[in-house]
Amino acid sequence: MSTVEKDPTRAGRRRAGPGAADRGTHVRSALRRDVLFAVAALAIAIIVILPGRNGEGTSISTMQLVASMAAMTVAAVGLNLLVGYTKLVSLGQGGFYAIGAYGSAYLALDKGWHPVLAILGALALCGIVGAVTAMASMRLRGPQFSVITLVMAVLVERILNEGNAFGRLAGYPNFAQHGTTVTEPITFLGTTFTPPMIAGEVATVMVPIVVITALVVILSRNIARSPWGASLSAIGESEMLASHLGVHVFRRKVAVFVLASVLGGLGGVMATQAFSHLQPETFDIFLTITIVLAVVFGGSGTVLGPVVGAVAIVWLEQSDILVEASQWQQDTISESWFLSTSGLVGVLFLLTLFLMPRGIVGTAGAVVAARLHRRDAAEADGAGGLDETSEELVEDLTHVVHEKPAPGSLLTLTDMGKRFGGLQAVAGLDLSVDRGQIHAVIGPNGAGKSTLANLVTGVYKPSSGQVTFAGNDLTGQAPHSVSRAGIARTFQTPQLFHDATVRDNVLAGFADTGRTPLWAAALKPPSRYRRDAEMRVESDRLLALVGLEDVPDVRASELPYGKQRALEIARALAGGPELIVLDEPAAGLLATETSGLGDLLMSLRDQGYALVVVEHHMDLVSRIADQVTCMDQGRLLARGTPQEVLSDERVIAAYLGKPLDEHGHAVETDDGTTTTPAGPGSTSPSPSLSNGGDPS
Amino acid sequence: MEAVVIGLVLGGLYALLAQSFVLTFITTRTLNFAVGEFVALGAFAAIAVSSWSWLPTPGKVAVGFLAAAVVGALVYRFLVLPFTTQGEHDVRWLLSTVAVSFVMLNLITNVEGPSPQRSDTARISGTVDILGAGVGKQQLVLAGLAVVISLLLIVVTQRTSVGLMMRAVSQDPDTASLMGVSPRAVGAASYFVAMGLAGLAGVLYAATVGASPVMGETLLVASIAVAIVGGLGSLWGPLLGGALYGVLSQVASYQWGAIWGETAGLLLVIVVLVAKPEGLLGRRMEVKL
Amino acid sequence: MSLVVDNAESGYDRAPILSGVSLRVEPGELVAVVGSNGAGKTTLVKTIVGQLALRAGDLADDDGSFAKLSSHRRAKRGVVMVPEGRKLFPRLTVGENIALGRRAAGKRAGGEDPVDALLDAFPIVRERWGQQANLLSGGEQQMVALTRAVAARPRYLLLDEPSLGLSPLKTLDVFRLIELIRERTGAGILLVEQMADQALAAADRAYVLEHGRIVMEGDAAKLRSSDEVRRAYLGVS
Repeated sequence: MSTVEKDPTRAGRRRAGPGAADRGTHVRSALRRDVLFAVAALAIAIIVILPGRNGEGTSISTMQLVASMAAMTVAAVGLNLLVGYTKLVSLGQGGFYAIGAYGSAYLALDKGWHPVLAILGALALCGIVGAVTAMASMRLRGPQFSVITLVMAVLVERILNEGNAFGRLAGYPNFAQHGTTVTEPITFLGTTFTPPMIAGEVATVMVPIVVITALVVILSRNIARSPWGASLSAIGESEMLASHLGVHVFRRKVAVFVLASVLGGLGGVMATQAFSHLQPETFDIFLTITIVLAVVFGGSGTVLGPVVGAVAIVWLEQSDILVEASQWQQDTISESWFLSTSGLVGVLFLLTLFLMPRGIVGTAGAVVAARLHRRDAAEADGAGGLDETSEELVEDLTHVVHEKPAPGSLLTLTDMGKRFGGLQAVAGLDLSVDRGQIHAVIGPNGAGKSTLANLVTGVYKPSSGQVTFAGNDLTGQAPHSVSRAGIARTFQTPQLFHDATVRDNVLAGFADTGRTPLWAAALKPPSRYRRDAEMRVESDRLLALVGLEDVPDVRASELPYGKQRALEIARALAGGPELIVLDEPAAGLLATETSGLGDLLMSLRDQGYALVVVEHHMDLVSRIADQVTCMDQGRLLARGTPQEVLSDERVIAAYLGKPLDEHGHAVETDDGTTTTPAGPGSTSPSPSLSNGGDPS
Repeated sequence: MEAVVIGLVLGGLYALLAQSFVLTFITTRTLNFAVGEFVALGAFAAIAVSSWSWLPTPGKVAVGFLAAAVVGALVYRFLVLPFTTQGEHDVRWLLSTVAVSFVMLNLITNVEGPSPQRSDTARISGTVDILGAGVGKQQLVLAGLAVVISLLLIVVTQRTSVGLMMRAVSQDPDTASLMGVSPRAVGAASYFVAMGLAGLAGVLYAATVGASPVMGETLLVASIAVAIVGGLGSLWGPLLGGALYGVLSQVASYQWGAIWGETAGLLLVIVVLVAKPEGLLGRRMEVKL
Repeated sequence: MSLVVDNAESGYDRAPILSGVSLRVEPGELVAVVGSNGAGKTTLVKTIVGQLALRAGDLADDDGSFAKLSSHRRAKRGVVMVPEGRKLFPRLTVGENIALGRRAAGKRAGGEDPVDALLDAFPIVRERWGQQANLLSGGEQQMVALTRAVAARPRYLLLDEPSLGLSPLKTLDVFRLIELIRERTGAGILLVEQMADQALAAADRAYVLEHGRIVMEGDAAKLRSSDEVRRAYLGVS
């Protein structure tokens, strides 16, 4: 690949001075929050196992309940990464849980591996199966994706049920094959980790179980709130959008699936360690669905949702409530027409979908957020946005030189062509854009303008021709490579993360979204704190630049349309691009907003950005564009300054719908009128729009 | 050879159920994960009326069909349709039909008890010798029915005005409604027919293995697999998928043991999805931007 | 006796596009709506046929308000749209596409079939009768889409950008066909077009839409020669 890998931190460094103090504050407060969360998580983990500290017989059932909750929590946290963030509904988590549980026991008992190695081996197996499943299902979404994960889980279930090595219905381990029905507790570094089974023995295994669970929750929170997590949400929103943000969608999907699978397996490992015996019927479809329900019920796409959901579901299933509920039905309704545990879980699932689609945590969060931000949202409707771009900031920014404008053109398209089946959408088009230049592309509907934008940004591979950017050949590169090379874009209808805040939308635009490695997202080294703070300061600057500095915590969907567009531009800038492709940025804007947009685009040009603007708004085009390309029927119709192009007879005719023959001459229409003939390439400088070309 | 014949016959049963997945998918882009329970529902409905001596056997079979069909249409209207409103990527219906499956399975189990019940409706005993394999007449009828119903569905969709409406809704529901066709009504009708077919399969299947609440659950995965292998968008798909899946799994289990039978079938699904995500006879969905 | 849009307001999820739009189409009349891209023209027709929800205001035809009816019921009443981009059913034949149009006609069918007149005038559609629709050229597809709409026996026919993506000569054909439809069906036609010049030449009356509001209305010929119109569809103000 010949793309230029740019330093993602450059955008932040540009303004190292004034933000330094802010950054320190941000680092400290982020650190304080994270430490507080970690301490709280570990404290809760320890508190819940305190009842078992003496190994009293009465505490055994409590410890087993805690262990079940912990195992379910870990599996649900993993699944949440898929279902909640990446929006891939996997029905296979139970399968990974089973692989973890059986795999760790089998490797230790039958293969004689050291128990710790056996656990690692089982987790690795989960990861491999997960990777294979992910690659197999890469092109699938929706029901087909769910089915392939379900098939995987069923396959695992059948192997456990019918594979002789696993003792079938006798369970694992069993007397016939192993002479015992329980696995040996692990002894590691001189400590034996006893399961909660025998009165008088302290269930030492509970300590690693709850500590690991707490760690999983802490690390998953780090991941969810990192650029890595943002990339998952981006994929969930739209894979196209994600790749425009520089995310290698294929790799990231495999990575998140492997991570989720390993966590599913880890849940199973915990179950093995806590209960010492496995029965295949506990790893059926019901388990998989219970894990999905835990995520949805608790709140998918939230950090604490799967935790709350897992704890609530396990508690519900093991408490007497469901039994009592079904007894009550038998007493009051019918002896036979009643629902017991699995039916009631189904009803609970349906009720959750109907009444609480965001789950417990999501709904609570929304209520709190509504309270906090009612005022902010009101403000969002009022002042600010594109119509009130801060003059001062624009002024200020014009002094910040983006980059020494190098000589020669930044983007060059040579003889671009794109054919869809029988339709030649773009043909033989040349185009070049310099740094510090605004190049507008106009033309009637269906002229091929959006296709051109998609060719530049890598959405379409050209049928012919070449794309050169900053001296590198970008022809046929995928959108994420194009994005990393320094070309950002906005869309005809703003593609935002509607449920995320304005600031989080901008943060997702930084190159980090595509580049932060998983380990850094999970472990959050000091450099991550500094970079987060830098990004935050930079995002504040970008929000101010587009006039959204007053509403950073409002949800993007609550913004009026014009401000959503402004936000999208801020996000595009966050990636530190050299060229921005804007697809109809003025569509749907009010006149004042359009004028504000013009100011903003011109200030960006003055900073050295190159802009390609696909636009219908001639007003805006004539005001801001240095060069105008008018397309018609996929071909170049006219090019030049706005003055030249907008007064070109053929351009006017194309827009007015006056038919022209292939020589550019007006065709006789049935009412007998003709347009003034104009030769190819001729531009008539004098006639203004109001009198140009009208025969009557 | 015996394995091949039995595999083909077995594939017929899967194909019948796969047809109900294809039918709902074509018109509504949804799958009913509770299909297995509709199989049981049909079987038990027929048992419930088995003592009505005034009702001839076809009438009892029809009761099995109608019971599942009516519940199916209601499930579509109240538990599927509300969860399809958020566009293409909205798969909440997937979760809601899984929940329906739980509720129905549990309810049927509580009402009828978990153990299989004998069902005599539409029972045909005896075996036929085909190429050296002894095949139960009942299974043969099921397989034959799958073929007949598939052909019938194909004729209806290709030749009748109802079929024209279905194809229109399948290709572009918004434009279909501009032609005065209600996509919801077409969706409800296809759920009616699809679940009715599941009920019908239940009545006939129960005559051989008895009716039990979990009788359909075991068929669910195999029939989804068949539908996916053949292609969710094609009514020919289940026939091809059923034959492939049935033969492959039977041959594999004859050769290497029962566990490999199913494993081979499911691996077939994975291979097909990787190589051709739209299924062997499916059509690639046009990408819209 | 007319199609009435009264103070309509609508738009997509988060972005209101139309506000306070009122217009009227008489039977047998050809009314053009012109305006620049993004002015709300497509939103307007989608709202009238029920593909977008009406947020405020009212819609009515000869039988009264139909604002609360679902899309397919409006079609059955005779409010028929030819959507932008034709939207033929790609894998149905030309004949099947037109047969679907007839479904919407229901009780209004009967009498002389205007489809025959169209097929006689443009025999290409008849020649393609058994072909799959997606194999047709853009111009042929537009012919079929218009014929399909006529088969629905429209009382009011809404045409969304019928010239989109067509070559100039094909565009002329389409406009001739529209004229013929008006003659043969007596339907009121609302023509939404970016090719304002031709639309205004064909229309009796016209409305100019800008930023989701009607900014001008009146005689099509007069509007055609006015500077304001040029501003509206060229997006210059």
